[in-house]
Amino acid sequence: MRQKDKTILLVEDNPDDELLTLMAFRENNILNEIVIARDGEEALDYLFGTGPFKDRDTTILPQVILLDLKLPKVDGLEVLQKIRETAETGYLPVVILTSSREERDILKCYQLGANSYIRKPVDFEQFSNAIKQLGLYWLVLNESPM
Amino acid sequence: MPGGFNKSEAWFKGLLESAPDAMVITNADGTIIIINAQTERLFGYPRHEIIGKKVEFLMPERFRPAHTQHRQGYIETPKVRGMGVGMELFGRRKDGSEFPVEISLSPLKIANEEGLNVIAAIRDITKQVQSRKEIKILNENLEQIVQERTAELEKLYQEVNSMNAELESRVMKRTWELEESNKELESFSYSVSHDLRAPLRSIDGFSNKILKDYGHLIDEQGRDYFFRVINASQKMGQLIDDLLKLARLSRVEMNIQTNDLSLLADAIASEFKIAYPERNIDFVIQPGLVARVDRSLMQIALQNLLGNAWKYTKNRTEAKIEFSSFQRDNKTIYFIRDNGVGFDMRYVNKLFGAFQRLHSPTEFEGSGIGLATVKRIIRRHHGTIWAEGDVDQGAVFFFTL
Repeated sequence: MRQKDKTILLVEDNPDDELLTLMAFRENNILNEIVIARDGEEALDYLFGTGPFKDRDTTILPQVILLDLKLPKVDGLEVLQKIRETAETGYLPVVILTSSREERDILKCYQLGANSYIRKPVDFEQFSNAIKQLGLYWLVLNESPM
Repeated sequence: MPGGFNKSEAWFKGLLESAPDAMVITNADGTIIIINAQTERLFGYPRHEIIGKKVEFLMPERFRPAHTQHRQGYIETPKVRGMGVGMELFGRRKDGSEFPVEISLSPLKIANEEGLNVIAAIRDITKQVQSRKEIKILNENLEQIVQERTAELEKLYQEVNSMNAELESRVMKRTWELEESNKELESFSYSVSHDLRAPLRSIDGFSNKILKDYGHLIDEQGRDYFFRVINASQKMGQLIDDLLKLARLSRVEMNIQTNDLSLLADAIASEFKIAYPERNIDFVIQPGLVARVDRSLMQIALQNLLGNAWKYTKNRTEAKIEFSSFQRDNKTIYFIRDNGVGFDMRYVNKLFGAFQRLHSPTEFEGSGIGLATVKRIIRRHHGTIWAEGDVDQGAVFFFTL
């Protein structure tokens, strides 16, 4: 599998943040396909091939999920819990990408099996740098079980 | 032997007259034959008015008939005993007044005389009876007082109980209210941290992008404006973070242990020295400053205090920062002293307010949250903090724990 084939699932409800994230990926020459889910329900539908994604080949899983916490309908923690409970997605790398630095959020995410927790910095330069590191680590360096 | 008889008669008379009680001697039919001077005094009769009278003459009239009976009974079984044991006895004076008495009876056999004589020792017990009455009244009063006091105490006890109950319910209510407001505060800081930062990211991110992708289309001044927008949004991001940190200080649970503040300060000083090797600072830290504190909170406090001293001595060629303590009124007062730019004592009460600054950001950087943070930490340790300084003469921050 070439690196380009590895998709990234970005779960983000804020269109500005979505665009900024995409900008940061482009700036760092990360050209993988990025699937965007705008709430928790859409993310779960995509992963498990339900709802509007019922025809999707669910054997193809993203290389990494970038998950915001505060989401409409089903929030990030519930999405994470669902992913970990399901055998097929149990080991999917999930990186929490959020505004919050509340200790309870960080703790809860790791308790639920998040692989990483990144707080989106206000400074775009820092954010872009974080996205670069993240892409390098999860898309290039990291060996996934799937 | 008439002389011998006369001598013993004199003895007898002397004995009788010197007795402290009224002595009345009767013959077997109750006729008074001898009395002493005490009897005269006690009953108010001269001797000749008593001698020859029946003994009942000395009693109130209402007791006389019964006494005649008792008297005969005594003659039949004569022995030394108290009279009317358990009864109240009274004498009657010549003026008709009565007084309580105690009487001891003894049979007396006089040689050469027919029949049995009886000797009665009569003692006026007015005073004793009076004292007994007084004691009784006192006792009754005492009892009443005790009862009143007991009632008062019970009432007080009930009041205290009901006050306690009310207090408890108020404490519970306040606790609930505090928990509620804590929850509110928590959800408030949660949304501040989340929702307030998101638009800032957009402002910063897109300004950044404009500069990067379209910077060549904008002139120098336009680019300067965008830099200002970026700076301001980053600064606001910093303020939000500081505010959240400050709010968190009040919520975080404390873990009070014995800690060596000197070691904490040493470590902080070393970090400063490594981070700014070009600065020449003489750190004087008194060793062994031990206190019971929350280590991580105290570390933040010391970082801020030493950091301030560090910051405000930056223009000194020979900067000196001191961390030490002294005793006053049995309390340890810690202090951090520097020889930096100091401050005007007129503004001392602004020092510890959040976002209050005594210097412009171009002179000394900072968001004005440091000392507010320190104050909150010291207060959470039930201590106090105050400062002294003078413009260009350095500053001293004192605190207790």
